[in-house]
Amino acid sequence: MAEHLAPYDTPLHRDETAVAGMWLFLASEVLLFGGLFLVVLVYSHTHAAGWAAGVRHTNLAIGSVNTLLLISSSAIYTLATEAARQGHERRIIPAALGAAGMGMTFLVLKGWEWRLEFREHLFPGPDFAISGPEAGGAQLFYSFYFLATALHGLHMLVGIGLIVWVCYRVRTHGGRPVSPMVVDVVGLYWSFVDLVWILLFPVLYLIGRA
Amino acid sequence: MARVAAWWGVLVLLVGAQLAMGRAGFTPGICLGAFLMGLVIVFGFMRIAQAPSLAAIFALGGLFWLAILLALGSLDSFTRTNFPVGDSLSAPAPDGSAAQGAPP
Repeated sequence: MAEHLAPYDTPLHRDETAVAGMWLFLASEVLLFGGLFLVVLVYSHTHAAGWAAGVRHTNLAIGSVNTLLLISSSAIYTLATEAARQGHERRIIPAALGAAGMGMTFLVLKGWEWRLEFREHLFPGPDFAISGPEAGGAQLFYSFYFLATALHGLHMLVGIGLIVWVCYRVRTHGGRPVSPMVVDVVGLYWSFVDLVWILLFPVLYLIGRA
Repeated sequence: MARVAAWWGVLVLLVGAQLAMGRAGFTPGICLGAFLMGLVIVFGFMRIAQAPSLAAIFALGGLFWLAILLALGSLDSFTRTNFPVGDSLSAPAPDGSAAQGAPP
C-alpha cells in the first residue's frame, strides 16, 4: 500500500497535495489574467470616454445570459464534487455533463456575439465602426475585449475537456470507488474559470455603460 | 445540495443587483457586487476554508502578487502630473526642442 502511494504517506496526504498543487496553478493563472486587468485599470482611466463608448457597444443581453449560465454551471459541477465526496458515484456524471453542456452553450453564445461584432466592424482595424475622438479608446477597449474573451474561452474549452475526462474516468472505473480528489481538482479549475468571467462581466458590459 | 442552491441563489441576486447598478451607473456598487460574487465562488464552491493550509497560502500568495502587479503597473498613469499619460517621450516639447530622454 505504502509503495503504491509513494511518495505520499497516506491517501489523504496525496489528495491534499493534489488540491494544493491546483491552487498553486490557479495562483499562476491569477497573474496571467492580472495582466489583463492591469490593462483595464490603465486604459479605462487614460482613455475613459473611448473606453466607455466601447462598453456601450457590447451586447448586454448575451453577456448577462452567459453570466447566469456560468454561475449555474459552476453550481451544478459543485453538486458533482459533493456527490463524489459522499460516494454517490451515479450522481457525478449527470451533474458534470450538465455543467459541461452549460459551458458549451456559453461558448456558442459567445461565438454568436463575436459574429455580430465582426459584422458591425467592431474588431480593431482600419474598418473600425466607431469614429471621432473616441475611436482610439474604443479600439483599445475592443482589443482588450477580444483578447480577454478569447483567453477565457480557451480556458473554458480546457475545462470542458477536463470535465469530459472526469466523466470517462468515473464511467470506466469498473465499479471501484473513484477518488473524490479527481472530481474536486477539476471543480477548482472550473470554478476559477467562472470567477474570471464574474470579474470580466462588469468590465466588459457594465462599467461605463450608463 | 441545499448549501449549493443557496449560494447559487445569492449569485443570481448579485447579478441582478449588478445589472440594476449598471443601469444607474453606480460603479462602486458594480465592483462591490463582483467582489461579493468572487467571495461566494471561492468560499462556497471552491471551499477554500476547508482546503489544506498550503492551498490557502498559495491563494493568498496569488492575491499578494496580483496586488503588486496592479499597484506597480498602474502607478505611473495614476500619479503622473508633468505631462499627460499616452504622450511619447520622443514627442517634441512645446518650444520645439527635443523632449527629455529623446535621442538627438
